Amino acid sequence: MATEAPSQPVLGQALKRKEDPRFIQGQGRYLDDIRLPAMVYMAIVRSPYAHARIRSIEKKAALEIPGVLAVITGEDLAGLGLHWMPTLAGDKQMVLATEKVLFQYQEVAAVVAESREAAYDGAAAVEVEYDALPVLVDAKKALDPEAPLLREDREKKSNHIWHWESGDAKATADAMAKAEVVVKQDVYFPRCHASPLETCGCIAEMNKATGRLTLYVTSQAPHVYRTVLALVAKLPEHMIRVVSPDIGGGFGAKVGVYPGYVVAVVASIVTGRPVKWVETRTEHLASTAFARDYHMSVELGATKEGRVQALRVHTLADHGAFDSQANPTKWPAGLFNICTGSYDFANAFVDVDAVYTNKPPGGVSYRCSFRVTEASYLVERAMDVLAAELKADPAELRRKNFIPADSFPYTTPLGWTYDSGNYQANLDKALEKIGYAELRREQAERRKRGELMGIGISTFTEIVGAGPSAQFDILGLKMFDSAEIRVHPTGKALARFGVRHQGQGHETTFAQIVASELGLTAADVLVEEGDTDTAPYGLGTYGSRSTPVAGGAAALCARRIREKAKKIAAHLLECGEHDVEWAEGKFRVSGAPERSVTMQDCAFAAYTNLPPGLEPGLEATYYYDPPNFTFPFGTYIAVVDIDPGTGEVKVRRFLAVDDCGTIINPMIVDGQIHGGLTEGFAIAFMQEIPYDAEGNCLASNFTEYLVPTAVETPRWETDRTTTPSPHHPIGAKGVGESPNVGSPAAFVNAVVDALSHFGVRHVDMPLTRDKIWRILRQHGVDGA
Amino acid sequence: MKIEMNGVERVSVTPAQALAFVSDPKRVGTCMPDLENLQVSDERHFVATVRVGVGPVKGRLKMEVELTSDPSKPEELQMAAKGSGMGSGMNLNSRVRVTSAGDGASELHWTADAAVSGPLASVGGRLLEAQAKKTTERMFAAIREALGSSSP
Repeated sequence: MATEAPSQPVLGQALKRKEDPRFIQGQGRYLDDIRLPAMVYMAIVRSPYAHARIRSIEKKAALEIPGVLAVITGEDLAGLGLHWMPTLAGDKQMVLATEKVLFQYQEVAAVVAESREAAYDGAAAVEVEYDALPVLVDAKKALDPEAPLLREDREKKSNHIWHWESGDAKATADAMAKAEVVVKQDVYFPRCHASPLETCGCIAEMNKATGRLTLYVTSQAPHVYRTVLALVAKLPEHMIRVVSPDIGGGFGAKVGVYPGYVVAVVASIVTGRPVKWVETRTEHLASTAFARDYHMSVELGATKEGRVQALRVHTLADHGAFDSQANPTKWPAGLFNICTGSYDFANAFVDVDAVYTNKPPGGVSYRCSFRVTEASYLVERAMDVLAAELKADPAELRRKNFIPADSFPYTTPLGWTYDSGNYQANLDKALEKIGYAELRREQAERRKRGELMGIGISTFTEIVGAGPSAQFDILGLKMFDSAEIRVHPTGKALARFGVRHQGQGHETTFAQIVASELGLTAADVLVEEGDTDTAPYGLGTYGSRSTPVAGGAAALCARRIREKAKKIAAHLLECGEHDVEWAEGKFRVSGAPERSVTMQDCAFAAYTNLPPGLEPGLEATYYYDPPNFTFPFGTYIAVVDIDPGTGEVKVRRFLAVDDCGTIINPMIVDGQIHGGLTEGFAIAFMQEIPYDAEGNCLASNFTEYLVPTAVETPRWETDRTTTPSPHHPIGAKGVGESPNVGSPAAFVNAVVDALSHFGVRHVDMPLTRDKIWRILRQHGVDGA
Repeated sequence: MKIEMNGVERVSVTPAQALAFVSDPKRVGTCMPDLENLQVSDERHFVATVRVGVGPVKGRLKMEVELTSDPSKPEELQMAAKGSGMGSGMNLNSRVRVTSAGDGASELHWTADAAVSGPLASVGGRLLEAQAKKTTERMFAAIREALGSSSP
């Protein structure tokens, strides 16, 4: 075959995304675009109360509405043993409430109808009588003796879910007692929500003739859904097909298995029709996976010179009504013990107590289950509190305490082994690019004139690529991931993966990895994900794990193909296999580089001209169990100006210098960073889901829960350093969540820095203008 | 979401007449604003269906109302209402104390606590308090008007 190998390296090229032509032309196929013949619609009846006993549910009026086919209640599901389901965290959760409800907007009944409108009319007509119970909203009161017991179903008669700790408590206490300086700070990371453009939904289609269930669903982890469905609904797993179509943003909100999916499956079995259920925006914000809600208390011990010695953290985690995070069995607080960050602490201890409250369950969005954002925010805030206490420059304090570049792999006192890092060089690049020294001079001058300017630094380290099978699982399923590659006779390839992208650009980046390993162009490789009938088994896309895990599988799977192709190349080149070398995207004879064959030549021969004894075809499957996590890092610097009259914070500049190891596609990396920074900006300045004393959700729509548009969003500046991961097949580390993890601290540090001369040491997010305005007034700033 | 309200209405009837009016489901029931349907169950209970609109949340609430009085406080009447509809719930506890204002007139001193849950509270949000106050004031104003026309 005459196709040429690519003339320049495929890896590292800013190729335009292969998926974008269909997205920007409105040709994406999202869940709600799917319309099956004879499809009916489902709407869910939800609880207005945050805590109440259900006295009765009356279906009659709903069933009288034209078009309504069925009303399903928890009692109906109880007959099938499906009124409760296991969560991904080892707890259980009500599918439809039977005896009582535990949060506002909890699922109580479902109405199936011929049209969406009739389904909603039916839902409004279901009459549910409740007796309100005392409500527990404040996690800090969950363990009070007078607090109402929420989960009467549990053996443990307490709102306490679990206690988890990491590190040496005694050694840390000793070091803290001896430290010359100890700073303490309470830090709350408010409850927020990823709220992707597309809400969650599904179509359940039970074909009674074949006995096969197809579930089209907005899922970041379709294989996990298939296995969970097999276990929960007791259906044979090979008779379930889960299809995750194009996804309009996930950010973790599409990891969990929601009650609506289970009810839609039952509804399809009951009616014999395909059943579509799509959440409204309010249902999405008020009932599906939130993020954060972590009450953290940090103590940091150091020498007078600013050398950190000990870190101690206690956290109260508000998990809502059910513990339905997506967490590995051994790690109920995820990877929260990454909280020593980029710093060389000799001693650290962290513990977490999780409690139930009358709020929605979840804790999955924005890598919430893994708790890396909380950890990073905490240590980056604590470093600034220490800098303020010591009157030290926050950049210099960080530099002094970095894990030195020559000490990797580095094991933290909380047990993680960081693969690689060069924090010093990364910080230096950022400080130089932003003009740090000049900004500090400008700040001092402006302060003399009564102007409020702040500079905030975050030098985060995060942990991605869950995860090594020795430590990581979801419901016992080890967190490997997989790739399957088929090279067609003409040298074009189909590559399938067990992960499921939601806008991250896998169709391009994974094609680049495979093409790079096989000497093809990215255009030659079609990437497919999301159909459990065709994709190899995988644990899904979340926690920035796709590139570290599935990306590793892609490279190693392609190398497996290359091994076989090498035998074919030797046959074609009429030499021994040991005389064939792979160089510049071709097989060539060692010592005679002019004699070469391409992967396309080998592919054609695999189907037409095989060496004797070799199995025909050219395809491979690879399940990659990563030996360790990867540890991306970076320096983020925010420069803000605060209007003393209104409290309005203007982000003048924001620089992100990321290090995510080997870059596959720099344009996609920048896109991921721009998106994540915008999320971090929103979390820092405008987003929170608060509840009133009765448990009413006060941010259940976009008039209360704000999403930044291009008008509010600052201009992002990006740069990078590259420190490859030594254990990843191509040295890549993952980047999707770094900006969401690293940026909130930079924003808050900048605002606190602008207010530091008033003695302000900390302000909890969101930093709304009224909150800042009040602080300014407290300190006598009237803005006149 | 809890809302506390109170007010005073001056009416041109005697305290006994005013108390008789507000204790009568048939008469006090018709004073509920935006009433669509009234079913009087007995002399102490009625069910009223009212139209409600708070911001984007619009629909009907079915209010089950119970009137009670404490024999030791004959000048007082309590009204407990439990409402449901639009996926929302409302509990309203209201108390009316009737005092003489001289010249055959009286004053209705009323207080009301409303606890609202569901989309009415979470979506109606910031508009709810003002709307609840307006609605409650309309109810007592309607009582005043009705009493005015029934005055001797």
